[in-house]
Amino acid sequence: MNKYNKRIWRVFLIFFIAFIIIDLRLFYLQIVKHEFYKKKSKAQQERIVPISAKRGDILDRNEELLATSLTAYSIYADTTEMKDRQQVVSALNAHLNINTAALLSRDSHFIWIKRKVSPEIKDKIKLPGIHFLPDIKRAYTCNGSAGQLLGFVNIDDEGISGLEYFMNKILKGKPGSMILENDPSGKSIYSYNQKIVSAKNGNKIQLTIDKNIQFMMENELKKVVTNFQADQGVAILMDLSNGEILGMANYPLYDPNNYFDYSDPKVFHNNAVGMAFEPGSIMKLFTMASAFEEHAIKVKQKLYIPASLVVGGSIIEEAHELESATKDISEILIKSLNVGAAMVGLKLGKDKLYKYLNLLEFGKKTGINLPGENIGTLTNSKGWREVDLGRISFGYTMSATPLQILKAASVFGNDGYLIEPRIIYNPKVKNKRYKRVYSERVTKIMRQLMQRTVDEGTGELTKIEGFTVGGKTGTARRFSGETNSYVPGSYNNSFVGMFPVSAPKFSLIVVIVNPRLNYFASQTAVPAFKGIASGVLRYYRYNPDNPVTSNISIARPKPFIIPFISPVTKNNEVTANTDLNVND
Amino acid sequence: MSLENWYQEFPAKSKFDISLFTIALGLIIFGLLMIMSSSNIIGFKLYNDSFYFAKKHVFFIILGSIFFIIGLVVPHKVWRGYSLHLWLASLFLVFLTYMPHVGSIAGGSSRWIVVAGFRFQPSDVLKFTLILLIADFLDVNKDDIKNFKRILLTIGAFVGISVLLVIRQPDLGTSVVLAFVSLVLLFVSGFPMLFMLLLIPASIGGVIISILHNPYQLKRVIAFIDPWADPLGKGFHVIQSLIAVGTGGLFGLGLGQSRQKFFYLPQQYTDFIFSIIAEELGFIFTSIFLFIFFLYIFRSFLIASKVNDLFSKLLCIGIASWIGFQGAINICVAVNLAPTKGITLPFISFGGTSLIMVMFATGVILNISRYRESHE
Repeated sequence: MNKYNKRIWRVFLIFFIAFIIIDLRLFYLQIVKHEFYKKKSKAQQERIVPISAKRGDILDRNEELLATSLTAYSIYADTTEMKDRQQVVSALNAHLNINTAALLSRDSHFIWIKRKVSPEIKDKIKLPGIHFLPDIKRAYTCNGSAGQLLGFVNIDDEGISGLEYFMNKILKGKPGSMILENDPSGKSIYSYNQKIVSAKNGNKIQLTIDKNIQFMMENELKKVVTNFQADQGVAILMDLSNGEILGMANYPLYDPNNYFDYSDPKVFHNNAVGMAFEPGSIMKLFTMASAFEEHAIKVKQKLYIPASLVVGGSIIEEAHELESATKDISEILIKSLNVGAAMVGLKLGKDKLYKYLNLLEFGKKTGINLPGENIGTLTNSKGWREVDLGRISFGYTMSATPLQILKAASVFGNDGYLIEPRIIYNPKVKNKRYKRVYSERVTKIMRQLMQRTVDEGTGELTKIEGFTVGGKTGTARRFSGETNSYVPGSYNNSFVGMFPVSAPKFSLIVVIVNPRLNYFASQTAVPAFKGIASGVLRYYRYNPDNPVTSNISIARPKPFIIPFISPVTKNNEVTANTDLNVND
Repeated sequence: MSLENWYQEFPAKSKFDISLFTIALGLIIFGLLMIMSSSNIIGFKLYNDSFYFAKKHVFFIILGSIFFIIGLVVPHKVWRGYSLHLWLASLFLVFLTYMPHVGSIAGGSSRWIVVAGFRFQPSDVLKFTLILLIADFLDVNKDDIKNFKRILLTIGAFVGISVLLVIRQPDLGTSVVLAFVSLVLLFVSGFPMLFMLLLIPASIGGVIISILHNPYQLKRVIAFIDPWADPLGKGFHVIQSLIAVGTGGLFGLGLGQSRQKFFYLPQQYTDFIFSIIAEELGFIFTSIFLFIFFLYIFRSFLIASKVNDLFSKLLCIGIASWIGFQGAINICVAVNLAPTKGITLPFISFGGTSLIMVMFATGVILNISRYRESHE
């Protein structure tokens, strides 16, 4: 039997060797090449599904929604699942305001039909081969109000204009991802270790604007712009005590919900910070204040003001004909006299005028956090000719944005201090006056003069019964960058002021670009200013501070009623009233 | 003849080998566990029942247990009396797979016949009956073993007819097992070494000819040599198996945690169940499984070395070689040491006939173990 056993164990040896080889092979595959195969397995099994982060809301100062992100659905078609395309096309066309026939005639299995439709539309459409993918749609609740300020996002939820662009990083958040494991058909398998990196939702931002005030400002601009056939209007309202911008209006409006409907991108521009123009007579405020500060002129001083003045070979004259006469120096502001302002400027000298304009931060950024801010032009006084000095004294040969002018003019309501305008609401950080430009003496004088301008001068139409208002008009010939010359008969009208003058609380600027029917600021910008100012005073229920006129009017006017219905409730559900349009 | 008469004729000398019994039991339970794990997804998909295959497998285990007891109780020498009949009967069953209406085609080959709703693979029976026949013949002619003409012609006829029927199904895997086991039996019974050395290249040559004649086997060989050349086509099967094995790493993904069973790896509960074992249990536990499987072979060989008559030895070695070789080939396929064959992993793979025959064969080995010489 032994000879057999010998051979038995030889056979066994073959098995022994075979199993050793197999185990070595196993070691090679499972240990040595482990990472290689793990990668291969992941490559075929894992699918990374992005989880979109919810974009942060934009709120107004009262936490009312201005922009929010809603659940939406994107529609796509799988044509292989359709038996009767024509039927699908007609059914789709009935629900969507697009012609889907062209889309569905394409020779492709997968066709995007429409992105970001509302859940209501989604619920209505139940068609073979039509599918939905959840998405997020940015919604601007005020249908165009503050559109230039807010801006908009593109289809991929990236801010590309306005605050949406400027604050994109904060609003956007960080998209997360989910690693799913799939079977070969792409179905996810009930996996035990799904890796989820949750999305970090974007932060909300709260603006200093009050959407009711904003809406009211836009309405006032609309009146003036349409009445006088102007190109556009800009208005900014600032709280003097803290620099908070309560409203920043541009007219015409555009609806950021449908930004793609506008062919001219100019409508998206926020001209409150982006438009630099020659301010004209408004600058007389600063010429005069600087001259008072430097004691170049005195309050009760009389001055012989000729009808025209030749400076360095150029003629400076009034916009409307006036006789040469000896006038009270205050009339330079009240009656807005160009020649007078030029004389004061010449008296003050270019270096000193420049010093103050520089202190007022013309030609610099205002410090507001908004995109597309223009710094205007203020050249160094070393290069000024005499005629330049004369012209700058009444607001030519330099340019500024509405916000720059407002910031500078606000020093008169702030005891001569500059304060940075603010658009992001943050009550925790106190916005302080940071630089003194004029003394209290001068600001007192200037307030009186500004009030007199309203009471008896070019700003007369601003008079609000029961309240004191102070301000200054500006009517400047409009310079066209395209033709590089002044456009004949075309003007920018502006009015900057504060109210109530007795204890200044608000500063406001209104700019009307190219009003065709009347080019004097006193007729265009001033009524808009009045409309806004009286609306604001009523909105905040201010008690009248002007007893002289108050007996004429109702002692306590009714609060301004805001004709505004929010289309979006606070829990982000769209209500039925989505057609609301401020243009109506 | 009754069991009592058989025992009078073939008196047992000792108790059956409890170690081998324990090993086999362990392998069967482990197999059931792995079928539960590997088949739950496909079971749910095809039959809406995660335990569809596991339940069937339990039924096969019960059926197999009956055959196991038959193998254990009936003295193995009783089968010897019917070796030719049994072989012819199983040949007839294999022949039936070619019959339309009776034969069942799956995966491009007709290896099954359908009996009372159950698919039955006759070639699994043939493995046992051929071993029985050869063992009987070699024992009878043990003193004439040097008569290489006579021995070779007879054995050649037995094996040739068996392989010819099986290989045309086509089932190269089973054919190779039959050929290998026959060679082992020849070798153990003392067939001259010189002739053995001639037979081995002849067998390999036969395999090569078969491969060249069969385009689908040729495809498998090409995929074996370079699976990455066509990862989504010919190489898909091999690659998915390698990914499963490689992903397992040292400790595996955990029992039930296979990813590859989600329809990446075809035949994940039958021919490629080893890949799922490696994926879920990792290198250490898979090696332990390999060792236990190896122990089964070792115990069987030990039993063979301890029985005194050549027939018992050959029957025992034949069965052990069949199970060991089939297991080794199956695993080699899974780790791409051999081209895809289509044979099951004994004890573990889902498959009724395979499990029942392996359990029956284990019963036979255990019966042989009762005839061990106690003094050794």
